[in-house]
Amino acid sequence: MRLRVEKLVASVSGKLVLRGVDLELGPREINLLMGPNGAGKTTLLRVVAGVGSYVIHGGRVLLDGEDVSGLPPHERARKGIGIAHQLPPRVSVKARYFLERLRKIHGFEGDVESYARALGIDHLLDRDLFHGFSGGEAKKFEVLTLVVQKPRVALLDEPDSGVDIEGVRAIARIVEELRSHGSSILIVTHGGAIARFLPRIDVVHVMVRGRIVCSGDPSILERVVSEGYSALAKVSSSA
Amino acid sequence: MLKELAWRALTKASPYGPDIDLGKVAASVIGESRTVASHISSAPREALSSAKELGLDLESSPATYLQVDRGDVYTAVSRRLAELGVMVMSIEEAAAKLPWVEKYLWRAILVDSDKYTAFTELFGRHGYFIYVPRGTRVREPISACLYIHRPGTAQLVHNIVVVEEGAELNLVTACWAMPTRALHIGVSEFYVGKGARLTFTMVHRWREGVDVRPRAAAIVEDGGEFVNYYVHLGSARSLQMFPTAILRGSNARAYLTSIVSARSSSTLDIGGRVIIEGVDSRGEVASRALVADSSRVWLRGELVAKNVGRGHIDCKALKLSSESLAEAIPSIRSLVKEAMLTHEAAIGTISRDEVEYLMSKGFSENEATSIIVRGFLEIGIENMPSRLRNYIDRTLDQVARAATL
Repeated sequence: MRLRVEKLVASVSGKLVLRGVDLELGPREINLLMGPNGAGKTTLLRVVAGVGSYVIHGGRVLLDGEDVSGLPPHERARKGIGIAHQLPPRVSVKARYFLERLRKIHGFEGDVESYARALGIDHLLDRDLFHGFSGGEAKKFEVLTLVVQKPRVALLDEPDSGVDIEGVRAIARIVEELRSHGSSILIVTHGGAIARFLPRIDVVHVMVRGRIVCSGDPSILERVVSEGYSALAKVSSSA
Repeated sequence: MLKELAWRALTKASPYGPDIDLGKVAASVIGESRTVASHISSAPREALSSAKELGLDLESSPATYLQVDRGDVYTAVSRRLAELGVMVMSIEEAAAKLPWVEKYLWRAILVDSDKYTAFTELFGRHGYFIYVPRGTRVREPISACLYIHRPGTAQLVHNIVVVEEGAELNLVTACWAMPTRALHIGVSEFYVGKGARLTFTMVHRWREGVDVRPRAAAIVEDGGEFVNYYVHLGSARSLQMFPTAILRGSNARAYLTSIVSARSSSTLDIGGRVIIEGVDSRGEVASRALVADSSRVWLRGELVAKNVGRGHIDCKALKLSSESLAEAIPSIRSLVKEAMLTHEAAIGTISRDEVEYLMSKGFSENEATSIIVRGFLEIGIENMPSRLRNYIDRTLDQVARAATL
């Protein structure tokens, strides 16, 4: 497995959020992670990436078999865990300068600007990061950072929320390109809008109240849309 | 007359910055007579190599002025620039050879502005005179350096820069000190003719025992542009400067930018003033300060509109310690109805969220802090020649790295 999350228990600000999460992501797979608000999806991504204030009470995170649970975020990123944040903070650094530094540390030799153009955000490169960006522009920029990072595991937190259809299509194209170049992808999505534009989805996971209650093929996505999460959670608990 | 005014002003304190007892300094400057003027090739190796550390290769510069302490001056002007009529020499040499230079002395700055201007008139020695004739555009940066080598030196210089109508000059100056006890007063008067452009970039690296009192003013005629870009590395004991740009002509422009890094127990009082006299002229005053250790920094900005025009002040400080002090004091004053003057000021610190975001992308905590500091220092100036832009970028990289060590 490229990424393995084992019995992960974690709290944020004293509140237990992850209550024993098990999740596997295979090489070159695209997995979706769905679940109701407050289920712990964003926390799971942040704990895997080592970002934020959380306390791990049990379990571990393995990247290609190596336990990275105790590593600081920058070391995880250097080892190949990339995260596209849902709500990145405003950073008073010019986007172009940041991307240039990012390119250097990750050894990216491609044309960053052409990817920015493909995402429709090249006009933002001379601005400070996320200063005056719309929600959709911030999401696209985060996807651009993944292109530069070329991660082994790419974690995307709601890349399709607040983004117009063309934008979602452009993001999906880049996600598929990342996958074809070897990345494994885990996408948190609410409505699954991005799924329409992805040629292949390997596994859909459903998370409810801090646990993965159901993992399976993409038909789960349709069940979520038609039946809601509670039905799946009931099936899971009775099973 | 000038001398008389100066004598009277010898006790006139500056409204800003810690006061310096010049009586103690006077003993070291009275009666000294040593003066040497030579070609740059005979300058002390130590001075040339430390200029290189500040990014300036004086021997390959198309024109250079180097002054060591009070008396030793080294100059060079390439044949090409000399043929164009560009002049670089000490102010005494210029006054002796060119009678018309006198009309530029103490015209932009009053000799009795304060005790420092007065002291320079009475006891100063040298300083550079740089002249670019009408219509001559010198894009390649030329350099002027003031270096203090001997302990106890009081380096008091009077600089005059004249950029005639339609001409352009990109002047880079470096000033630095080796010893731990010295005084530097630099009176600088700039005359920017119609449609002319002067970019004046200063990089200073002072030491902890050095007091610095630059006194600068520019007069800018119709359509002229004056860019004053000041970067301070290192840690002076005290630095106080408040350069003034007088936009006398219409459609004139001035950008006064100061970027300082304050460490240890430095006291820095910086900023600038733009006076809009000509119609439709514009001015900007921008300051950035990194405030560390127990240093104290005041960021001042002043805009005065005496005619229709626009101006903006942007003062920001990034506090890197809780023991330090930062104060921003923007002031805007309009004497006419139609002027548009605005200001913004901010004092903050590096946010944990920003650092964490950058760490999530693969930067260590130190790298993340350095990137944020570097981003904070960035102030864009349009139309800057690329060599000069690269030089400033490298200098700001140094400031950011030093601030996060």
